[in-house]
Amino acid sequence: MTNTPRRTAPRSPGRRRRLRAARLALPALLLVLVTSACDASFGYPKSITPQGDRMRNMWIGSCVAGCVVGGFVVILGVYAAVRYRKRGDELPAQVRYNVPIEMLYTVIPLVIVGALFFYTARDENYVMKTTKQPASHGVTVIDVEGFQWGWTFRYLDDSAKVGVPAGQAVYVTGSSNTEEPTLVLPSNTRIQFQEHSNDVIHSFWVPSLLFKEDVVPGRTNTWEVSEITREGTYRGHCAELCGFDHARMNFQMKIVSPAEYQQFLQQSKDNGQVAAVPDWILSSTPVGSFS
Amino acid sequence: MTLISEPPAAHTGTVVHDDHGHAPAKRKGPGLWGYMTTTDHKSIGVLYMCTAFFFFMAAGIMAEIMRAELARPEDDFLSPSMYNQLFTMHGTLMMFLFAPAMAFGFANYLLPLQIGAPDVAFPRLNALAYWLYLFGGLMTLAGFITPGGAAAFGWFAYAPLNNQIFSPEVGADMWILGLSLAGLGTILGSVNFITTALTLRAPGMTMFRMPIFTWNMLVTALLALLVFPVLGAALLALEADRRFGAHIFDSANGGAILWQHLFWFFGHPEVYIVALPFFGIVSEVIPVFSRKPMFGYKGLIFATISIAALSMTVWAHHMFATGAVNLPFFSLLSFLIAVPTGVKFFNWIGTMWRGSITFETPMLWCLGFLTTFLFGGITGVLLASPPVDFHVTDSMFVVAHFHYVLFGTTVFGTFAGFYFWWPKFTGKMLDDRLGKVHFWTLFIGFHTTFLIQHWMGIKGMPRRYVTYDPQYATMNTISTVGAILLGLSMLPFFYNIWKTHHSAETVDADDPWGYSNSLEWATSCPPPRHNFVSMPRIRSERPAFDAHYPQFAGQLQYHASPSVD
Amino acid sequence: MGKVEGYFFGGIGIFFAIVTVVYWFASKDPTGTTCLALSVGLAGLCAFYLSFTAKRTGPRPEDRDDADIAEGAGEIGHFSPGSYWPIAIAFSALLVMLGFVFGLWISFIGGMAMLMAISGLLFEHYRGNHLHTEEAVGIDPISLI
Repeated sequence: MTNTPRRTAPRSPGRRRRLRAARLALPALLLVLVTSACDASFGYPKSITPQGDRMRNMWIGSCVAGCVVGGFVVILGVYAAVRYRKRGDELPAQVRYNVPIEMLYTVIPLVIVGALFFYTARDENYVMKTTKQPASHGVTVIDVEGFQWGWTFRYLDDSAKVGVPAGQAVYVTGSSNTEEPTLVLPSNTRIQFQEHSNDVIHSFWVPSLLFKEDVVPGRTNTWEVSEITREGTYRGHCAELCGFDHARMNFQMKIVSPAEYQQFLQQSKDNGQVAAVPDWILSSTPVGSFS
Repeated sequence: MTLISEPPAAHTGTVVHDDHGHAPAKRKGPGLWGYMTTTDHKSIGVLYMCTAFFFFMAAGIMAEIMRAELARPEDDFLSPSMYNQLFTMHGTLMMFLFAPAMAFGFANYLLPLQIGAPDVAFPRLNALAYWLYLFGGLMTLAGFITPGGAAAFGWFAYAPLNNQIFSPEVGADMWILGLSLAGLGTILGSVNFITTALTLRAPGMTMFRMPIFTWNMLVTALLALLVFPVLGAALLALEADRRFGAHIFDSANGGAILWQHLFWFFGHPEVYIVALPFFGIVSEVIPVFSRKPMFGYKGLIFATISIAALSMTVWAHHMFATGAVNLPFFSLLSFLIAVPTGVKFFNWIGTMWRGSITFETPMLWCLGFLTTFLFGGITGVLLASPPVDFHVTDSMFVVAHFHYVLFGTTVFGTFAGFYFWWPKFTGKMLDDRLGKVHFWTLFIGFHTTFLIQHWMGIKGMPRRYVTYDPQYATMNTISTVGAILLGLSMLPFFYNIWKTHHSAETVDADDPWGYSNSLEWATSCPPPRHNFVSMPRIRSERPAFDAHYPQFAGQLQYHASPSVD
Repeated sequence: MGKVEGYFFGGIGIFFAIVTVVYWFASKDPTGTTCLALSVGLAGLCAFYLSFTAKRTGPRPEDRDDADIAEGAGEIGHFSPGSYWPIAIAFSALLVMLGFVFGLWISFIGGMAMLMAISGLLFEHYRGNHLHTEEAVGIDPISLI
């Protein structure tokens, strides 16, 4: 059974112009994206740690690769849509395949993702490295406890330096509903974070660190920054749904000079901001990065 | 196919068959009892599509409510508890009750037609699968009318937040068990599709002549068989913890990570289960409006199979920030899966290349899909790298990414399919101008809503937050304006349906688009009860095109050659 | 039954088998390894059955490039014209699930109903009024082009 194909009405010049404008809107959109993204590295916050620097460079490189590939595909697509619009009733050559081209567009993406993976593997190994015996290597160890719905930060080994007895530590606690806790940390010092939760999964995220790690009950996740170079106060959030007040578990991370950090610890001890470290935290085994 | 022997007690509803098996011009629908007892894959397909669209609207309304709350940073009218229920159920409805069901709707209607079969292999099992989906979905949604509210732990329901201590409400149990029921429906439906594709093809319809949509449904069904049982097991284990005192997901036993492995082993293939059918729809529409065959048919099939296989091996890229998974293994495979996806992109563009393209509404939807999915796919490649993922996971960046890929695929694909196959389903064409209004309002609304969310996430706004820091206020307001436009874009679509139902002419031809390829376009609009009264010879992957354009039939073209009159 | 069907499942199964082994040594994670191993089983089971059947029965008209529609003439199978058992089974299953939430007595009722509905489905076309009401559907040679 044959049937006559529907004829599309010839396009008025106005309609053709509007179509062309629409087709050009796509690369224009891309251009806008690219130019607006050329601020501070495609939108990423400034980095304040060497680990963050690596991750930021990875982001910039990936974005550039993405823009190049994406831009190429958009140009190809827009060109095809504009150039090969129906003119007349002849059917085009019914091409079904072209093996060399197909191999090309399989192999080239493979090479691109291969390169991306190389830098990825290198950087994730660097970022996730932890020190086996942090205290004996002069690493400041901070215990991060997430709970429904706030944080308690405990200064594990450094508390001993201001005379706090063993089994106890200087602590800071709070939430957005009461008073947001401020995690005071020294600049230019290697810091290890050990994370604990006694209820549900939370996630410790400081956007300026360009890093987050989930706080998982039943595990002690551990990660480090080799140093934080810039003093200042940075915002932190809980980044894993943890129930009712998930959006109100914010905190501050304040980076001060090592001398001011010592003062902070001393003042906290004098003010009585000291408590026993719970057993379930003391007896846990820190788990370094998986790989 | 015709009825060879009429059963003694005829039980065929109110449709009147004439001798040639063509349905008369105006016929009554099956009616309520007819739909409740139907085993006709076309009616079941319609049921799936309508029900899926209902869930889509319900989830869309939930999204509009959330965006209204998020327009300004202050707490406006939603309590955190209500907000948590809304995003949980929005995700659940979209991922379980809209996208796979809409895909199954199209598959139910079209797969038997595309391979020249009179129905699916197990028609009553087909009906059962639909009813399990409907009842399971309603049970999940009914959480809203229970005293404690609906489930509020996110659509991936992480442990231990999902247990009876932290989520004691009955709505959570209804979520768990409703999804188990609906999941069973998906499994049974998948069995049906695989069996149908393997055993009910017409003579000459070899595996490598099946349409791309049929291939994609075959692969999707296999994926569903592989992973829905894992979900079902995890859900029932969770219910055992909640109701019967089991300790499977206790934190002390590593339950938190155990749940994530089980869920994401299902959850990642799930996003391909919802994507592949719509890739298939787009692969049907683009060749028709380019007036050329699908470019690189075999390569496309191998790419699809590769995507499915790889999708089963990347699940823990959702767990990079847990500290509990092998980062290089999952990162490498996540990068690799971008390659066959890219291949498909070049196949689609290659189909348009040197074609003769017109931009009716179905083609516009495909172009919209290509634009949107390209962007979302690229942000996905960015996310495959843990050093990048560590910053942007669980932020609005990821929300933007998955809306680009999921909405871009499922919603653009759904509307492409609707506008394309509407004459086949209903015997009437949808209005093309209204369709274009629908498309452009939706396209602009969607991008206004979600493009800026990438920025929000990079700048530090977490996901699932009912309230946020003031520096994100302007971005959120823009996003809400986009969401309003997105919601309004449905109105031209509803008007289009209503208007054409009353006033449009009935389609007489088998193929109103003129250049369609697959077998469903070689039978009437809509098809008779058992699909074909007569069937053309099958000698390629485009039997309807070959039948309508015999001068081109079987011509294999490698390089461009002089065109044929 | 053609060979392609068996290769389709078999190829996927082999891929999963390789990944299972690599994943175990890369992660020592029992959860993912188990899931992957079970996937090998599913793919392998289908591949084995399809290859075995293909070898035993040989190519059908739909496996041959040069087949004509007329070769499929005759009855394809018996297809149900309509049935109320599927919705009954689904509703009974719903009762089973609701019972876990609201009271196990509901599950009990649902379980009984499910057994009855499944029996109804299985014996639908072999008993009473609906004996032989399935429609035999196939290619009517007279209507071929």
